[in-house]
Amino acid sequence: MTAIQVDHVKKAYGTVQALADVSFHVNSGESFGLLGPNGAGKSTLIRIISTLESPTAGEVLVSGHSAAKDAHRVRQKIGVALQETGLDPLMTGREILLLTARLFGSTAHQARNRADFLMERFQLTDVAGRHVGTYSGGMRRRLDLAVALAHEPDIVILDEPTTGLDPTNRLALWDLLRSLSQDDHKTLLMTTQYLEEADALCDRVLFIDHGHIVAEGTPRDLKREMGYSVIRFSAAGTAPDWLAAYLIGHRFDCELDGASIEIYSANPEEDVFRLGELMKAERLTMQNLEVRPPSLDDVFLHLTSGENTKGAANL
Amino acid sequence: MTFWRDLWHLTVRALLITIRIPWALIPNIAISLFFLVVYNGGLSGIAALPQFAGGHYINFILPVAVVSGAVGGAGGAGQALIRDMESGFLTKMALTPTSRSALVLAPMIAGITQLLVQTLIIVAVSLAMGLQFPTGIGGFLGILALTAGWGLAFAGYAVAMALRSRSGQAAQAATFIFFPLLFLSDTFVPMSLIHAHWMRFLVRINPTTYVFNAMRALLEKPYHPAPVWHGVLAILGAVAVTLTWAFSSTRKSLSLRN
Repeated sequence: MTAIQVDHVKKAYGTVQALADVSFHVNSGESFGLLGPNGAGKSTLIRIISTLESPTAGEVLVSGHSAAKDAHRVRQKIGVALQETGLDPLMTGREILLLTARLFGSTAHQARNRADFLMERFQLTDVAGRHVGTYSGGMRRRLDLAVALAHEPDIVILDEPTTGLDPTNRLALWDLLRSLSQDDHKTLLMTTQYLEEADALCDRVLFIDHGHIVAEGTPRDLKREMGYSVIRFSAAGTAPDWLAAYLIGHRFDCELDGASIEIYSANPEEDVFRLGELMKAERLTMQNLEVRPPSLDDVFLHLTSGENTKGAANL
Repeated sequence: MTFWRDLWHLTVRALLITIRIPWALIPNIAISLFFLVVYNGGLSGIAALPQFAGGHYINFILPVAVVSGAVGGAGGAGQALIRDMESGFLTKMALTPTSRSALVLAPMIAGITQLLVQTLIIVAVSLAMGLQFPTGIGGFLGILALTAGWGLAFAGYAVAMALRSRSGQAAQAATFIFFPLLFLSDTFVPMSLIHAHWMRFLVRINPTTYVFNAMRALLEKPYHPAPVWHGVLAILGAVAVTLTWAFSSTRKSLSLRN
């Protein structure tokens, strides 16, 4: 069963085309990732699906209801946590949860029970009575997600849920999101710039760049379809940029990542041997050699090569 | 039904926030009391002129203090909305099925509640300074109703400006309309003592004039109903214009669909 259906959605702001004919669907119970660099159109898509904006053309159906024509019903089905947390710093966490639950139609008793449950689950019970302005970044993110779940929605939509979090808080939030998907069987639609996050959490991903879909599939299939492995190494006694230029001159598909060289290779065994020969001829020593399957980062770079630098995709 | 339920919850929350920023209330009440005490102290002697028909000057100047407090209090509705836009809370609320009208009406109602409390304080101070209510409790309640109505009109303006500008500074700057509204009127002396033709013209087209005179009619004996009705009409006209503007701004500025 389809939870979210996006059909030929376009969005323009004046002369700027934010989304150009985007179509995809998210199945019920699936964790779906929207990936892309800054300005790719991810947040615009999230705002359209969340009923906050209208598309210039095309249609979005959420649980079969049109986000444009039946926004009221769609809001009952979705819980949304946007990139910027929408929390009033002068209210307590508990007050925000209670208010949100009441606006979704819960009775006072139901709202209290739900707020208590969510505070407990998101480890906020101890700070439930404190003003949100005193919360840490991690607490604010957790509360924002808890608020999105105040009405027990079937579909949870998250726009860059871990941006700005330190590694500990990021991993803790990953666990919460996994639990929402696996234990509560929620449908998750999330955007992220962290490709390893999508790799860890999403059943399927969609790459979007400059408002266009550039690839869609499971992380595993996308990596396999890429058909390349990555050879990574560094070399002592020479400037990395000289070495990269030298290897490109020998027809290696090569990029510089800091002081390391990364080579996309369809035939890694043969290429490692060739590299060894070349390095030997130049009296250089290979260090920290590794050959690994491609990551989603590599897939993304490969798909958008020429338009993105390695640094941009590794944000 | 759900509209009223939502409006109730959002208004309670808006009032809670108002109470939690007490420093925002103090300048407003201080300005109103300043007008009351300073103008009454400096100008009360002119009440001996025949144009005042034997009334006390404090009865004449009280509406100025009350209306200035009303305008400031209602302007807080715009500031509250700006706060919610900046914190993202308004968007969070817009993701609930709540009515968009309730989202903008709630801070207005909280602003009006605030100005009614201010009015009670101003009236209490005025009573201590010798104010008399010749029309009794009815006159007092009438003044409160006129204050709330004029506050609602100004709250609509403040909210519309907040939604259009989406900026605290711009919304604050827009409240400077307060000065011409308050002072291009028969603020300190009756119309018959204003001799400049341009001023008399501006006084006549300023709706605040009719609000002042409606309140003054409720502080005089014998009671004349005509100025009160003129004041009520001026308020209804202003409310219709500013609330229409506020609601159309909600749809246009926030891209929030109903």
